[in-house]
Amino acid sequence: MRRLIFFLLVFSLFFAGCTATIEKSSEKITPSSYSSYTGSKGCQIGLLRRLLMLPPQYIYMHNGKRQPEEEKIAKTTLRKATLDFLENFRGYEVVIQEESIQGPTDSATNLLFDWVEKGLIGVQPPTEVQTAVSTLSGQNKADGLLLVRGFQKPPSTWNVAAVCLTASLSWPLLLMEQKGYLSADIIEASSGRIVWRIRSPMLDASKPLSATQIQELLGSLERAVPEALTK
Amino acid sequence: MSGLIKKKLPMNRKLILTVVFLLICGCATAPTSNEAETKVFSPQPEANIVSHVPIRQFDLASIVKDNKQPILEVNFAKPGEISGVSHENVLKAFAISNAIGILLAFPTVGQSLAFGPAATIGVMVNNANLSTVSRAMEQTDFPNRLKEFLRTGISARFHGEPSSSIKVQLVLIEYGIFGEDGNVMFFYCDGQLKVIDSGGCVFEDPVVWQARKRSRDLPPPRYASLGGYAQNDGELVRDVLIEAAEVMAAAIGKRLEVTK
Repeated sequence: MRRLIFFLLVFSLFFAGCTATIEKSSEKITPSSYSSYTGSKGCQIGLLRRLLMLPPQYIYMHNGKRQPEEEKIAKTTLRKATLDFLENFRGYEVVIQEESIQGPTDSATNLLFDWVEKGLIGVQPPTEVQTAVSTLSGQNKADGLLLVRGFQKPPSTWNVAAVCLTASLSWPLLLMEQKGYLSADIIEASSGRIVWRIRSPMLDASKPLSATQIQELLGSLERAVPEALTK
Repeated sequence: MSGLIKKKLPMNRKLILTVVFLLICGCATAPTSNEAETKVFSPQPEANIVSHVPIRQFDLASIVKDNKQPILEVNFAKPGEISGVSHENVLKAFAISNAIGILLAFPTVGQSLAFGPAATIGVMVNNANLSTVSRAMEQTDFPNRLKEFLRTGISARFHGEPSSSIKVQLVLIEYGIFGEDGNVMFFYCDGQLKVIDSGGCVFEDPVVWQARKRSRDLPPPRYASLGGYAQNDGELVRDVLIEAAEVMAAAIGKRLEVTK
């Protein structure tokens, strides 16, 4: 019986680690690009209908080293699929912030990625974060900022070889070694607060990032309010 | 298993098992994306591109005189329908998928026949869902809802009695719920907006609302399965139709208002 309990515990913890976590601010959302919403249906995050998407961050580690080529491909997939899904299926107006090599926009972007890493939902951000948010959103007349990032570590070549040599007996090594997650945060432009967040583990980090994974990541985001219902 | 828990396990173990069970349940009910939407979404962005129909604007206030409201008319060529999905289609798709599944799992005819009742129940459920969606659509009366929302918008801009010389006319060429084998369904509408002044048409603009082609001022459709639309006696059908009427009326209102 103890074995059974242990097995169930391990099984449940394994699957608990495989589920996405979504957090949403319950406070009032204030858009910046329009003054009022005239629709009868209640809306929260969807009020931020014009989003500025910051250059996505993606880390791809293989055999203990970062792989810039893989990271570049993943970032392109992230940008394209996010834009495609949010505009064509959720009705958001997405403005893409282009990646700069070094500059004030770049440092503001890094500051905001640090903020979403540490910051809690609905908490008032420090002054420098607020300044960065208002600078970026003001330039693009955005209601909110969208920050998408990911991390992927497929199994190392050694482990794949070990699995082949041991006739698949060492497959748990592969499972334990591979890691990956995707996350998305929305910051309200008017206050700098993080108002929506999703963290989703990648079930199979050995495969390249796909548009379907992004669609699944953002699938729980509510629809944007239609432009016709804004004034 | 339950007997074992009742007889042998002490309280703390029951507690552990309960926690484990709840954890598993939590995993099972974790938020997932809309299944119907997942089926429509293509990993190739080019396949998801929507063709936006340009819109035109007309200053209705410039022709409305003597403090009178324009007359409002919403006509439809044919009543709303559920297209692309029929009882036969559902039956065919269901029968094929069942036949393949059964043939793969159970090679003997005798075993296959055992699944006959299950297939029949499936078809009955689909037919019941179709009837629920049709009924909910009929009850919601989309053209009337649309007219109400349009009337509210026009009354807020123009006061006084309706004038017979100016008419705002919306002809719904077709509208309804379109589906593919009951898996992915969405609301669609095609119409023509007209402004008629003393019998002559002074403004005309199409209203297009489809999955891959829509007027620039209309949002993407909401996708759901036939089962999803039929849930709670067609709650989603009513929601979608009322929301569509509200959005379409607001979009038309904006087309007839030129902001200076």
